[in-house]
Amino acid sequence: MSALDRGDDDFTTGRYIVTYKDGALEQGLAALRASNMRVADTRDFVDHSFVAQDLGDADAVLFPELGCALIGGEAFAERAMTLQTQADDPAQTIEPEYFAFAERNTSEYLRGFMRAAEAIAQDLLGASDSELDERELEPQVLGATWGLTQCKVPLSVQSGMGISVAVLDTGMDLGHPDFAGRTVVTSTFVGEPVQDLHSHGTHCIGTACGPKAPPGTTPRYGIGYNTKIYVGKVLTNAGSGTTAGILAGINWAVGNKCAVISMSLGSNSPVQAAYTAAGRAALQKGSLIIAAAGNSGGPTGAPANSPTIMSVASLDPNLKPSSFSSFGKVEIAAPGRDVFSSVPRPTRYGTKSGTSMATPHVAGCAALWAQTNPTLRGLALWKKLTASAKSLPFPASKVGAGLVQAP
Amino acid sequence: MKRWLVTISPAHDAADVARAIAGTGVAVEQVLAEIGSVVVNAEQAQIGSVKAVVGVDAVEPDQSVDIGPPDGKIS
Repeated sequence: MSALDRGDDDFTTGRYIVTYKDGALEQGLAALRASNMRVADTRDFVDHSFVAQDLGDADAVLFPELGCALIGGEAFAERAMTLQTQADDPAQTIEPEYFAFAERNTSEYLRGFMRAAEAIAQDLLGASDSELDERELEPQVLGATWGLTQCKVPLSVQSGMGISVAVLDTGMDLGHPDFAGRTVVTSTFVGEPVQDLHSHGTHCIGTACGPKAPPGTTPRYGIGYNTKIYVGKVLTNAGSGTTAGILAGINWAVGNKCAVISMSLGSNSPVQAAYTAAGRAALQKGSLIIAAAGNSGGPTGAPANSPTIMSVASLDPNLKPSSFSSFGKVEIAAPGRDVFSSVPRPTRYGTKSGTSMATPHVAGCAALWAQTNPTLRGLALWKKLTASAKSLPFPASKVGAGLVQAP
Repeated sequence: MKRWLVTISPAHDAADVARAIAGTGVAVEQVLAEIGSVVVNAEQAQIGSVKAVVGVDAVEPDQSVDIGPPDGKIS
């Protein structure tokens, strides 16, 4: 039990399990005794059943029915035993014993399982060759990013089919393999080609509209996998833009009947009347504009601070508001820390943080909601998103109605 | 000479108001009819006349936005 008190991520108990080759059990038992181990053999107990106290001070317990033996840590170390086996050994394998836990909380169990799996891999394959850290392992084991999982996206039967989503940003890597076959409409408002040479736009589009099943072991990172994607380049490849260019992008998206307009951009500016008017017109025409609250840690900036534009705050994986996330006028919150998504080739995938990453989570979920009912447009869609958000124990000024949820 | 954003009242036709704005001598750059915005190029001194045009709700200077570099930590 002292092993449990270590309080670290090592899930080994300190004991070792020796698995014997077929027919080599008695030879194995003889070898243990020859090394002066006190061996308890379950054949000596009634019904092969024993409790820990029955073992007395045995160094090892033999399980003939299973063809293996459990060796105490001290006994193992005293005889300088190792995990290596020789060709003529009665032992097939020698492995550390790991704790098994019963967990009420599925995600805790899975996290523990994953750490144990990594520990086993390191033991068997040799330590620190692996570059995987827990965050990278986690989505691969669970099949989707933490953000999609928290928004209940994998459980949704919606795909965003029939819904047009405009992402006004640095453009998109139009040749990214994960978007092959998707309907993509583009327009530039900054005098540069739509092709994303920055990465921000591709990442946001990935979250809002990425594929249901990315290739290989890549976890699912996108929400509206059947949406029609409208890429409006309103930010240059250097990441800059103007209100005029952004308004032009909004005008284009509204004119093209995009039910959802995602804007992961803004400044610390007070409310701009032009944005408020644009937001109002959009709502009346069935388009919901969703914008990032800002990363200043201060009050929400423009355009998100317009009353007609939905402002999104960022959450950490523990569902606390991210330290950088602006506050005040916030309608809803979404995952924004360490968000895995698409980036331009050749890299193809990357992890970013910001209210910029939270915003397309809301946009993607909005697309799924819009698909469920043609009346969920504009203000009705806004209200559905806030009404269905998961409540969080933080003030509305930090998280609005709470964590966005998919239908 | 700089860029200004003119917000048009929803009760008015943006194209009509844009023509009236142009009549004040100011250069109209874009008419964003779906969202009721007109983008103009003008000197500060001309803005009073633009504001006086019927159907103009607000005039604001254009502003810039920056999301930072591609490898920025938070964006």
